[in-house]
Amino acid sequence: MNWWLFSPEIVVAVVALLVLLADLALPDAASRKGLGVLGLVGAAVALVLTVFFALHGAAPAEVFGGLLAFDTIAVWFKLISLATACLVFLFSFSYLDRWVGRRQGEFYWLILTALLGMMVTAAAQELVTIYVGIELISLSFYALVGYRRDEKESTEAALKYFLLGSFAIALWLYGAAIIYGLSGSTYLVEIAAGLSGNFGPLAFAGMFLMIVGFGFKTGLAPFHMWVPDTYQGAPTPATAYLAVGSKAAAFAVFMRVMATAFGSHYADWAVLLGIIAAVTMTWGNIAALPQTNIKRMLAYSGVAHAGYTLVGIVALSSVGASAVMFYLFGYLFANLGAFAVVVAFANRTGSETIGDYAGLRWRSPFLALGLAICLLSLAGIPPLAGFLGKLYLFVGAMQQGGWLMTLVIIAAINSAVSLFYYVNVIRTMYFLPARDETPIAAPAGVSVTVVVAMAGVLLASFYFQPIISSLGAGAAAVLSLVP
Amino acid sequence: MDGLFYQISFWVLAVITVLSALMVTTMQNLTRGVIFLVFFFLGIGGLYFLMQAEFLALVQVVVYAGAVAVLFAFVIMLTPRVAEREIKQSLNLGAGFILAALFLALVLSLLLGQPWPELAAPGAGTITLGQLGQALLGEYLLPFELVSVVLLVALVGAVVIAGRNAGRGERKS
Repeated sequence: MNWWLFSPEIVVAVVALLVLLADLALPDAASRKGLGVLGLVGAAVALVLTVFFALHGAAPAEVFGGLLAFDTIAVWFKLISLATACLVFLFSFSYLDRWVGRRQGEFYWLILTALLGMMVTAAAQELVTIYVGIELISLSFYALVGYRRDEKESTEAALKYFLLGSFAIALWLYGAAIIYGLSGSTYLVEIAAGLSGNFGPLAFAGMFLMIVGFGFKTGLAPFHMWVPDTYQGAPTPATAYLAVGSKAAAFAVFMRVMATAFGSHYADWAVLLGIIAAVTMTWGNIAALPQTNIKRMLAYSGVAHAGYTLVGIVALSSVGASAVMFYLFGYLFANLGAFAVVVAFANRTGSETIGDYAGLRWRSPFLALGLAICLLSLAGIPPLAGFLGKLYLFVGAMQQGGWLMTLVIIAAINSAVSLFYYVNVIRTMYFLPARDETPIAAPAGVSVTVVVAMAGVLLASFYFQPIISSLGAGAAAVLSLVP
Repeated sequence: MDGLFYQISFWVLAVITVLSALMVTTMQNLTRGVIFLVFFFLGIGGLYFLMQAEFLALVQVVVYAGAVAVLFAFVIMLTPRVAEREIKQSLNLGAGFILAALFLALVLSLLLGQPWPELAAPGAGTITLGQLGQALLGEYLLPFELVSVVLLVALVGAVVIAGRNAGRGERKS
């Protein structure tokens, strides 16, 4: 095998171990900030390597004898995970400063191990590897979510996430065991071959249980019950990481499993996933409307976005798959930018209530502009990245026609509803008078994140054509496995 | 393989396993729960033996029934006042029971109605230790190595959540 293709994962794993060892070796009183910088450099090196693969279109290959794929979908989702991790590192510095006395070294180590899990999960095409990758992500996040363990709400968030997450992955494993028993293989391609003649009710049950597991990880209704509490209680950088990185990796493997292993039984699951998508986006948007805590609002909006993204998988076409990939790319910048502003604001004021954002335009014009652009992108306002992502998702579904048109109409109505709560935040920031006039200074890490987020949201839409077309070709190659 | 003795052993082990799993989840006393957990692990080990996975069965008995259960027992004994505390297991026993029964009925009806394909067993049904090692360090090298990272994450995560409050990096230098 070509070890060069596996080099980003190796870099991340080695840097993670270095961080852990250095944390152990450093004297107790020493600052841990250098470890964060080390982690950031490691993730950045891996990101550069991955961007190199993405630009030079390395030929599709298999790593570790087919356990991992090396194709457009894998490289693209690795890129999303790595970019997320880099930005999360940037704005966790200022966040962790508030929590002096915590184990910062461990925080950076857990971010890196979760990153390794995401990279493996995004590329895995064998059930055991998928399971280990998902568990690596999950275990890292259980600890990250419960990091502020002296806070009751953080512990509650971690416990809820842990109990429900273990339950969901147990259901997933049961489904995977049934599928293995019926098909005789754990490799997705061979599962498709093994199931081709005998896709009975039991195979459907196994597939359904796996959908439940993936639905939990991506936050699809009705498996999203953990999302609001966990997002609200977790440390904000961990929330942002969970909302983007974990979700993107789960969507990558979800799409791969549905397309490769169950692609020829499309008719059996498309309607089911279509209903889940419709319920998810409606539930997420309606629940987001009355929220007063901005993290909770973003949590429900994340649920709604998972619903939109699922439309691309339901369409299961080259356009649909590339739309999922591009949509999550835009979602990455918009969401991380929003969470970075939340970190900066909470650092100064200690508040996460939307009402307290009143008059942010005067207190910090930069942060207000950043949050406004990110929220508009999430709402899907042209010409931002969120709009184009949504457009491609809808086009992908419309190409299939039939009942998918209904889904597109539901999604369009939902987009209009979502505008209400996004614009409400912008109205609060720009048109309501500030109760407290003290200016809010953005820490350097947050400023960089917000600038990158704004650039990503704006540039992705102006330079989208080459991105989308390269994604479309690559996704079509992966999906050609589908008859 | 389908002799009467095999059938009887299977059913005895299956009943022991399922009943003790039920007891673990419903026991209000933690110490008793751990004892039933040992029976559960032993039942699973027995089932592995019946499936001719001798090594797995031994590992199950030594690691789970031995080490893990003993560790649990120690934790319970060393934690003040947790051993005698009655722990309410569920607030919604009725709803949980109905849901579990429905799920069981559904899965059983599907499982029993399904003809299972014969899987080609390598080496006429028995897998030697050598084959197992070759699979772990050959074909499945990547997940095998990743599991070690998973264990390390679990270890560090437990320290983050439950370790002493006076951590390293506490004071700004």
